[in-house]
Amino acid sequence: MSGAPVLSVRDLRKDYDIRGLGRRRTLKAVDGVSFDVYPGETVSIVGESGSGKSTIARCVTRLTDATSGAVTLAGTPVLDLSARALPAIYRDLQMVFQDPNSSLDPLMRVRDLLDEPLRLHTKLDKAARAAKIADLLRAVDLPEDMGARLPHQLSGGQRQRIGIARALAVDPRVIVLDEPTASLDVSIRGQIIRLLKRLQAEQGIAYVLISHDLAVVRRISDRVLVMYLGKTVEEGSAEEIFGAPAHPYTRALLSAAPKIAFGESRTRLKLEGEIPSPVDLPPGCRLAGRCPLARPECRRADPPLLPIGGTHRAACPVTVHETQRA
Amino acid sequence: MSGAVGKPLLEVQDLSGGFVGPDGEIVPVLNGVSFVVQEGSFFAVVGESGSGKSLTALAALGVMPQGFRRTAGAIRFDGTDLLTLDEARLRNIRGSQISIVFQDARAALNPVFTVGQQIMDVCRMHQNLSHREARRKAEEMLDRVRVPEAKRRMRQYPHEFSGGMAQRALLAMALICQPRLLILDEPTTGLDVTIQADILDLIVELRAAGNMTICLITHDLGIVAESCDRVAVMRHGSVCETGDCAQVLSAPRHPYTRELIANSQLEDVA
Repeated sequence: MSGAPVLSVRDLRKDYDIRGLGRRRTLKAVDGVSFDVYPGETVSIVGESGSGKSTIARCVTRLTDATSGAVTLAGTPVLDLSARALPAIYRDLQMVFQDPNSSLDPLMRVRDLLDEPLRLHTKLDKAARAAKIADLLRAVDLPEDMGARLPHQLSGGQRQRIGIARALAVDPRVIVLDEPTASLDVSIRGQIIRLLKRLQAEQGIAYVLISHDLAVVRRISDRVLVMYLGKTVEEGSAEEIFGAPAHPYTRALLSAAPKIAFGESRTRLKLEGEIPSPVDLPPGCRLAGRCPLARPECRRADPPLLPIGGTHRAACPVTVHETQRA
Repeated sequence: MSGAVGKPLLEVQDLSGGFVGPDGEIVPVLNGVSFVVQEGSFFAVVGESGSGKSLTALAALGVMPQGFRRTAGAIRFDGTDLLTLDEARLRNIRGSQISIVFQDARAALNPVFTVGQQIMDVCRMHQNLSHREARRKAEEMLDRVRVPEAKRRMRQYPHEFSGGMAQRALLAMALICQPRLLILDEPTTGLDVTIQADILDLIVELRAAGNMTICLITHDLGIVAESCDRVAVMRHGSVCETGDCAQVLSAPRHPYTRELIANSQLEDVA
């Protein structure tokens, strides 16, 4: 990648105070995550429930206030903006949500849903906005007469297209996609992914994709971050992550996904038990309690991301050394 | 795949029906569904939303949603047409002969009773067991589905269970009377992939140990490929292709099956 990143995230942290009976405890939902997104590329953040991937999306878009860290969008420090200055960033930074049923106002017609971002962020007059709305519907492969419909008159796939059209309306430089296909059937999922790829190729938008769907991540990502309990455990290009996963958690995650393949026996790396509570985590590697490769030293210090080669880094001294020897 | 495959255990024959519309007309949802689940097999019914796969599964338990009318066809379990049985007879079959595990385990459990109580209820209803015997059996069963600390877990309520643990508890409840047919309706949808893989491993293991017939309803062809031996592909309320799992998935004959496989693998997204 050349040039400057369009979005840069540095040491992002989000703590939640858990106040119940007794002492106050802290849940570190995101615990020091950094990444860069360059124009026109897709960076995916993968992980299971509780990994903090959606919290990252919400902090980057300021839907939730981060505890500390820095987010820079085309030179603007996003986290430092006052409430008055904040709306301006949404010309460049948009979000597509997982559930189009709850993210679209059920009382607004499609054309009004698409008109809203144009009224807020552009100075276009009524006629120009109407023309833009027609363009947007065309861009997401919907017929123009959809404009008169209400959200409940659309299918799930059509609703998600409207969600994407709304994000596209202001010609943003970055779109954060939070599980954009999680609630869709596989045939619709394919259509939406093709649409997203085409729009990226045409308009050079950068995507931050939050997903647990490894098939989707593999197909559309340039780079991938693998998260576990608020930390990045591995990062690299899509080829590096899917071709030669280094961290035991990445290996477990990839080998757990069922595949339509016959004749090749699957060697599954199994983790013990379930993801522990993210409240008051013990010191050391967060995976140590479940990891078949864990050594005593894993429980003492939290391993940093170690370089493997290229942009590939993993937070596991055990497997990184083994990969480097091979 | 292992397991002796024998005579037909569940036969769905030309099942048709739909929901009664506002003017009394029937809007068809199932259009002649037919398939046979052989005793001992691991059968999969696969399809997208609206294909009628879950409705067919519910029909096999005699629990049709309100407003559904059957217009033709039969569902035979071990030779008996389930759709002609009265509620009392069906209640005898449900849970003891045919069990079902639903998608959202925490919603399927009753929030105001302990998990142990709910598992015990199933076996006390079908078997003449004392409270103490039922408790011992339920504990054993939780242990078999690998819920750690079964004794303590018995006294907990569903909200204290994680999604994966609740799914295990539901499996324990379904299996406690050793049913001949276990229906799994999207048992791992909504769970994380590593938890999903653990649950599927457990199902395969329990089946091997218990000579059980399984009918799995799913939208995920990957799961079908890894676990099942026979498959029926459903679309628009009918079966468009059925056969040996490896054969259907590696050499599909119906264009819709081909499309479904291509879409599952996102083949055409470069």
